[in-house]
Amino acid sequence: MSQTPPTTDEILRLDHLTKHFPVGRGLLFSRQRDIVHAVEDVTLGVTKGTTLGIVGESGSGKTTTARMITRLIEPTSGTIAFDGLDISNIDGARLRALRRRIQIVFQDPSGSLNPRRTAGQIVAQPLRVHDIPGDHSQRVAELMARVGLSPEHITRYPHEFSGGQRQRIGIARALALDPELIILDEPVSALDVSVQAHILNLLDDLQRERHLTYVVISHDLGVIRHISDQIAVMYLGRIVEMGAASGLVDHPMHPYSAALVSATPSHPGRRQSQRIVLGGEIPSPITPPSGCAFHPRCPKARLISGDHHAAPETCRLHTPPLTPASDGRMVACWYPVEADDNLIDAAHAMTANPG
Amino acid sequence: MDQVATLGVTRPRARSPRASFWAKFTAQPATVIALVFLAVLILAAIAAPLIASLVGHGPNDLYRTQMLDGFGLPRGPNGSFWFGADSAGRDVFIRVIYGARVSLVVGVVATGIAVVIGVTLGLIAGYRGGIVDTLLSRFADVMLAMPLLLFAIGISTACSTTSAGCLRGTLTPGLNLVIVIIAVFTWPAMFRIVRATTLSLRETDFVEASRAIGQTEFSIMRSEVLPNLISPIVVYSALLVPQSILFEAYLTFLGLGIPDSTPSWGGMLDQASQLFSVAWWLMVFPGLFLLATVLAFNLIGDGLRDALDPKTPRRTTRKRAA
Ligand SMILES: Nc1ncnc2c1ncn2[C@@H]1O[C@H](COP(=O)(O)OP(=O)(O)OP(=O)(O)O)[C@@H](O)[C@H]1O
Ligand code: SF4
Ligand SMILES: [Mg+2]
Repeated sequence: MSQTPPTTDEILRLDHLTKHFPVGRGLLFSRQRDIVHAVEDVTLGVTKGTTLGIVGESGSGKTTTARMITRLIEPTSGTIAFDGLDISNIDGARLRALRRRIQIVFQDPSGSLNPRRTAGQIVAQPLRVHDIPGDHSQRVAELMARVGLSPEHITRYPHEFSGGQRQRIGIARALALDPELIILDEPVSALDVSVQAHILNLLDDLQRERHLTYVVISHDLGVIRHISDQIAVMYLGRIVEMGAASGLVDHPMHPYSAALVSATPSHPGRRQSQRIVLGGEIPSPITPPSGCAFHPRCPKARLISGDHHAAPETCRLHTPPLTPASDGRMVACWYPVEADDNLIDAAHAMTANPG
Repeated sequence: MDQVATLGVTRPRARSPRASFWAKFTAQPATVIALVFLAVLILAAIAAPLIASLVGHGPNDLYRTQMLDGFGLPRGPNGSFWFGADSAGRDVFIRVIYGARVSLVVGVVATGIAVVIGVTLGLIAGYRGGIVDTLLSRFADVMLAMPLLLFAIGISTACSTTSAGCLRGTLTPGLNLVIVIIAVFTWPAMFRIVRATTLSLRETDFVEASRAIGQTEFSIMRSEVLPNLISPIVVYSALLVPQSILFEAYLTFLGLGIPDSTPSWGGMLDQASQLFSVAWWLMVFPGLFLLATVLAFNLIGDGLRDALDPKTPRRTTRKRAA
């Protein structure tokens, strides 16, 4: 699918979207509160009919972004525009109307289906809630058939299905109101690898058939690169790199994206020795590192400073903005990866000489 | 749809939820015995006037010449007075049967009121959270911390001094007062369970999914959260019933519950305590019935808990090697 520059065809736009969660320090009566910087200054656009994949480690703020887009939580600051309309602050009837146009599919298909309702009731729920006129049971039967379930499944309870079948029910529910945008938060990561492909194919077919726009979230770049037109890489609440899927996977420009790509097992011809093995843990979003949040783990920064203990001052003190690079790519890095950078050895030197 | 077949993940049709519930519920012989006992007791309580007319003794009929000896002491069980007579010469068997009516009505009605209050407030507190939750929870804590029996005695004494009752006649002595007192002191237990379960249900993805669809909070509470509370509510209700029955017996035993003209097990035990050394049957029969009824409800509560808990394996499934 073709890579489209930002146009009027844009269905979703996030501008400087930020979410901070205040969390108690645990001291009774203490006014002092810590702040989780879950999502920090996210700006992106999604073109109608395409798929944006958001990839990043656990805790990078993917789900929080999804919950803001679906208006399940309020942004701390920034705006969300859907189809040209600022939806960050709407409520009441307008929010209800919006809910018909944006749907969400959850990661854990067993948790997202009410165990006390039959598959048919679950798929009919959006129709009931929005008082859609017409024959609901007929519509439910069509939807179930479309996602690959058979009529006798309608009267069964969620626990009687396999994980893949449950996710099909979740997808049928999301389709019921004919939405334009579907947010899929880790749609296949709870499923067996063999089942994952079936679900991804189904999503692909549905997208073409109904001209759907997807925002797919996953920690698995292998999944993301299969179905995405555009990919956004998140690290500690920020987008560090964004661009057309194939270009980004073939030539990652941010050192973190390069590490992610090198760790994706399905990458052809990739061997263990070619992995960029990052040292250390992802830092706490309560106290994100100064400057570039990736600097404590960044191998490229070591190549620049020539010292495997410290990143250069630029990286430590100044936050790199997301700036346009070649072919419509956006990168947030002072020293983007170049072809002859040996990040594998640089990363190895860091982990071999910790401190 | 042929895709389904190729997936190869279609599970064998599970037993219907109802069938598997019954299989698990009746797996323990003790539960079955408890069920049978309660069924017989309920039938007997309903048919009490019929039984009385068959036997030929009313619950307040006095058989002084027949059943009191020369010293005015009651006579024990015999062919026509199976459980003997009490100090006024009344048939203990018939009174025990009538007493079952009081115990069952108090147990069921008081629990019913406590469940309605506890579930409604618990659902609101758990789902809304925040200040509403704090206020309701503190209120329930205060109720639970009250020296229950002392307060009950206080209220029932205040409302029982005259037949006009208290609160301008809204509470008159007798059955209704006992039921209200018990309900007032038992709802907080139900409240706590419902609140805690709602608190965790509120965070589930299916509640989130309902919100994303656009369902109103009230409708989510009623049609998504409440159905998932049925198991704990049913199990806990079954355990509240015997508690209420015992509570009524205490109150009546202390002379503060059901008046003597209405036969009740607590009242009979009260009388028996004065005559125990000469008339054991006055204590033993109502005591046994009270014990058996309380035990039966508790067993059923345990059985329901096992049967409604999806993690309990059915008895018939093969034991896996640990
Ligand atoms: N309601 C909340 N209160 C406080 N902190 C939160 C809340 N929700 C999320 N967080 C924190 O915000 C950060 C981002 O969380 P988020 O769930 O968005 O990450 P994620 O990328 O979806 O990760 P995962 O792959 O584990 O799902 C995490 O550190 C998380 O602990
Ligand atoms: S800005 Fe510096 S630390 Fe951050 S990714 Fe680029 S090179 Fe690494
Ligand atoms: Mg997540």
